[in-house]
Amino acid sequence: MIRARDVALPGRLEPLSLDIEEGRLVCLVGPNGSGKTSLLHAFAGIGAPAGEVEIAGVALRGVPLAQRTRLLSFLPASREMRWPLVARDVVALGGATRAQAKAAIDALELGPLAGRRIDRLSTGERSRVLIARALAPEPAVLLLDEPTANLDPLWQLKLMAMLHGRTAMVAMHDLDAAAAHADRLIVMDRGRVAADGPPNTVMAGPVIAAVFGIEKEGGRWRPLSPSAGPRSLP
Amino acid sequence: MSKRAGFLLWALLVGIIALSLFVPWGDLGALFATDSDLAFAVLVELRLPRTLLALIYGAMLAAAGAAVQALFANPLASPDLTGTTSGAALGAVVTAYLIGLSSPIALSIGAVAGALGALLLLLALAGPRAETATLLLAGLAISALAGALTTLALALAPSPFAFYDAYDWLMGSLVDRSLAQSAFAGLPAAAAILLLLRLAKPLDALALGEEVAESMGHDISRLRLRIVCLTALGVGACVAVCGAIGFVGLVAPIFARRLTGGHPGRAIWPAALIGALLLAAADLAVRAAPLGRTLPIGVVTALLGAPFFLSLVANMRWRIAR
Repeated sequence: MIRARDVALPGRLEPLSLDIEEGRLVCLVGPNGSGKTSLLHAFAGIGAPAGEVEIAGVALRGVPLAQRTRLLSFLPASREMRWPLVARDVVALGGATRAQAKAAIDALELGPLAGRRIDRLSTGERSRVLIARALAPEPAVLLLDEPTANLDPLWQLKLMAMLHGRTAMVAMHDLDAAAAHADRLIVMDRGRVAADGPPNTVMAGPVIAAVFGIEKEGGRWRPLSPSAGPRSLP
Repeated sequence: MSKRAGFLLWALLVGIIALSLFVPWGDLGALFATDSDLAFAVLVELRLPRTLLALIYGAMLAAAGAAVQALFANPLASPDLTGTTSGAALGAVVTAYLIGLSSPIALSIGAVAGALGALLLLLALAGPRAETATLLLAGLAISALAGALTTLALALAPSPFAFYDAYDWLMGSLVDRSLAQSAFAGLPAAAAILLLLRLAKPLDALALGEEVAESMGHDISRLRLRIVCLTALGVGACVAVCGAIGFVGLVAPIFARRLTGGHPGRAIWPAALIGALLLAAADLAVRAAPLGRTLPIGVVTALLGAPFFLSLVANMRWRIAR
């Protein structure tokens, strides 16, 4: 579904090539500044990336705007809007039809909030509005930067369930949630892909400890360095 | 914009055009009775250009204001507060009094160049993602600089009457312009407005942030450059003929967004209508005011617009302006 060749952003993302099959939920994890957002940006064509991205066999470069909204949606990590529109209008801004916008509002249970100005919603509610905006045009591919941030636990689960079965690349920080929901897990480190594979394999390998500097002990994550955490205490 | 609001705006516009052409009626009516050819000439050669200029200049200021506000995501950006009109005035004054070219085309080119210079300087000073305060400070600095340089240019001008000559024009005036002059201001402005209207969609997408707009395929740097060039072209051409007129470009978009549910891009069209209405109404007020002499129209818009602007600034929770 996604075919990326030598995609790069100077200084942020080293050239990488990836193929992602249809219907796969790919989770991106990595420390702060490891290149998760850069990878999503490069795939979404933000910041003049080098290389080629094809979605459903269509090269993104130079594709007409109307067709582009059916190919991909990008959700930025920021939950700020530059203009305070009403939630319903925000959902419609992504190029969705009226029926699609309504379906997305219903799916994210935004009905009671639809008539309210987005700057007067809580951060979590605003997140749901912006997620609805990204989902509404029913694009072939979703590129979501930390969609679960600011959501309550129930909505985190509902959202991941909604994404299941869709072609999506999702950056997130919660390793356990990423491992639980992903069909494929990509670990980013210093602008490169450090590991890429089924969640179980990646999580069991040495790469998590090497990249994040943490390890799992007794079902809980702890810092690796003896001096950095409570492990050094008696 | 709802159909009703659109209809109301158009109705008001037709009304104000009629008023602008036929008020004051007394002398003109008497003239029609005695010498209808002369009366017709007064209508076509005096009142028509003035009305057309008020409409197109108002529409241009407002359309540019709406586009610039949408671009900077800032309800306090406008051609006058960003220094564009002062830059255009400086360009025209330098062309006319220092370079010594006073043909309409030279003045227009000078003013457009001045406006473009001011806008590019603003982008360089404040950056493309300027915050309200930075943008206003940069605009203020550019306006002050352009104002000082304009005064300097007039003081250095070979003609001893330069100040006196330029005073009326600098304050903004629609009086005694010919149809040809209207065309010099109106054609570039009309073209600029039509091209700005085509940017409504990307500017609405930009409300979601630059990243999202770019992911939707909009080229933001090109959008920025287009708005800067179109604003410089239209506003510059109008300033060359009518001088600098303030506040219409600030006020009209704010009202327009009330009609578009806050959508910044699709507010360009209603803003242009409202701007045309506002400036034509201000010109009517100038003519109807029983002062015995004609006030410069720029003074009237400033007197009406400055308190509005002050209320926006005083209320630093400027969300209300959106």
